[in-house]
Amino acid sequence: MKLSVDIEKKLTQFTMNIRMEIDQENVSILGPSGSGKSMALKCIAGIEKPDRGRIVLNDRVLFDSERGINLPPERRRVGYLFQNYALFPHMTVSENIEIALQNAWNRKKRVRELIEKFHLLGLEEAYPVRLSGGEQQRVALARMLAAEPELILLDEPFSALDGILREQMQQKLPGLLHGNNYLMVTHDMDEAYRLSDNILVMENGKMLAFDARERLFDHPPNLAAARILGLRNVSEAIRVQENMILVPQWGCFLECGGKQKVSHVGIRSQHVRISTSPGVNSFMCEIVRILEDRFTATLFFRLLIKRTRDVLLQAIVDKERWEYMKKGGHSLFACFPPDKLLLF
Amino acid sequence: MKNTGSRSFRVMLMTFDLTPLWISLKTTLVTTVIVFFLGIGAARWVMNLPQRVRGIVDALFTFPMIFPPTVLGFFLLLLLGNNSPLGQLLKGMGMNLIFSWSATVVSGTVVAFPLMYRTARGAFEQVDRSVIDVARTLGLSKRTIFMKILLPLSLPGLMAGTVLSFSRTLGEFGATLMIAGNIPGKTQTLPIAIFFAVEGGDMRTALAWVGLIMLLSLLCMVLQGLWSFRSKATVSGR
Repeated sequence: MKLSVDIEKKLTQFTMNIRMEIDQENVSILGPSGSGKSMALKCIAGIEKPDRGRIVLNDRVLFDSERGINLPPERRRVGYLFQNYALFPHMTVSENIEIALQNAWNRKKRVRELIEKFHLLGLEEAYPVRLSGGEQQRVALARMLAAEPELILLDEPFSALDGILREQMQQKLPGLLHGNNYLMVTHDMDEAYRLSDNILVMENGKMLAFDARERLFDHPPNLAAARILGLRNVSEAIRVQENMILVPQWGCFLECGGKQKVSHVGIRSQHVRISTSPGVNSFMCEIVRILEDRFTATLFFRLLIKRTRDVLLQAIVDKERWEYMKKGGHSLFACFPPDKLLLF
Repeated sequence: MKNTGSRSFRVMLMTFDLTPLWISLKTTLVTTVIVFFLGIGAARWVMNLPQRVRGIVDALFTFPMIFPPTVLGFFLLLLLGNNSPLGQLLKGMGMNLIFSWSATVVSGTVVAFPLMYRTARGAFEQVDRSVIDVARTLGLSKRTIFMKILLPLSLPGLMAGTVLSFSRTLGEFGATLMIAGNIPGKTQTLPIAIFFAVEGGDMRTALAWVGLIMLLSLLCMVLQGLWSFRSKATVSGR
């Protein structure tokens, strides 16, 4: 599957503008709600019309504003999984799948194969209202594959599922779509990381970044993208000399490699180390608030430095380790490992 | 006393001229069928029009609903009468519409059309947009989507529109009187028969007709109620 998209569309709040090339990969569009990511998907499927641009799928031009080409959705061969699955409520599971089949021959056999593949045996004659969320999603996927699309679009595919079911479907989805690449929209960065090779970060209709997932999470190209990718500790910074920056809001100097100019520094909560002994880039700190999860704790802390402004930083620590440190009653140090600092 | 009463009732039944009932039923059935297809077709056509034109056409189709029936009848008379171009054309083809049975169908159609059109549009529009969109991405043709998805999903609304049109046509008086007149055995429908019975002081006949119309309307309601109950049961899969 090869997809090339370069489109622009004016929306009420902002102008959506995306440009990407996809070649045999699974891609996620990640962005907060209302960032125009679903609109991008709808434009590719042909449900919405971009104001300007070009969409090419496997050498087939789907849309080209200059040449006046705009294939209707029924001729694009682009599958679209809606957030609410949009099953046909008056048709049974089999009928929902059968209506999407392209060829006249072997229909019963094809339906049967899809029913088996998507674990829907026994539900053939059921109507959608009787199905659980997970079953509805599998019917919608089966129906989509019945139409033999060249490209699969998934709009927040797991938002209507909860808990275990969500995790199960996240595991199974790539297998169920075997051999088919997909383009997915989500606001959940973990979901995006789990399910895609490349991630496009979007905000207010603008593309902030588009890269392989590891590179993107390790070296976000800009601050806005980094924030969407989960960066919580951010401050302005000034380079004062080689290997040293000043962070006025935190009231400290930090050792860090390189000599390029910086405007901001950031560090992921997972990378801040809380310990009872000092080290490189470590400062005494005071824990202000704790948010406990089952196995980890998020510590909101303030550096005990005179010049510091009232800024709360956060660190995510292993809970057992935290319980152990708490018992000791020692002073605590927050450490910002130089190789984990993100510079912008 | 009692005996003579029941006997005179029987005599009345035997001599009672039922033609207004048959005319009314024939007119209403034919009109409802015409309006059913016309209304659905118009609703589908308007839905696919570009936004700007849509409002104008929609207003045009809804106009007959807000005009008094006599005013409509007057316009129809002007439009189809012997002195109008259209009337001349029909005459040339050997047809005289005014004061014929067909005129009752014409007036019924004009009066009931907006009801069917409006309810059909409402029924189409309340169908979940994403269901239609997904059908298109699955490669289904516009025709298939309309026949197999849009129509079945809006069926309860369409049936309501049909019943509305049926009752409206059954009760049509003003426009019918203007262009079809009151010709017993030919254009005299139930409501017109009631009016002229009352005017002629024949309260008994009027009462009989009134009872009959009420019975018919009630039957319509019950049928529709049963139908919507059944359709709800299918969609919820029970």
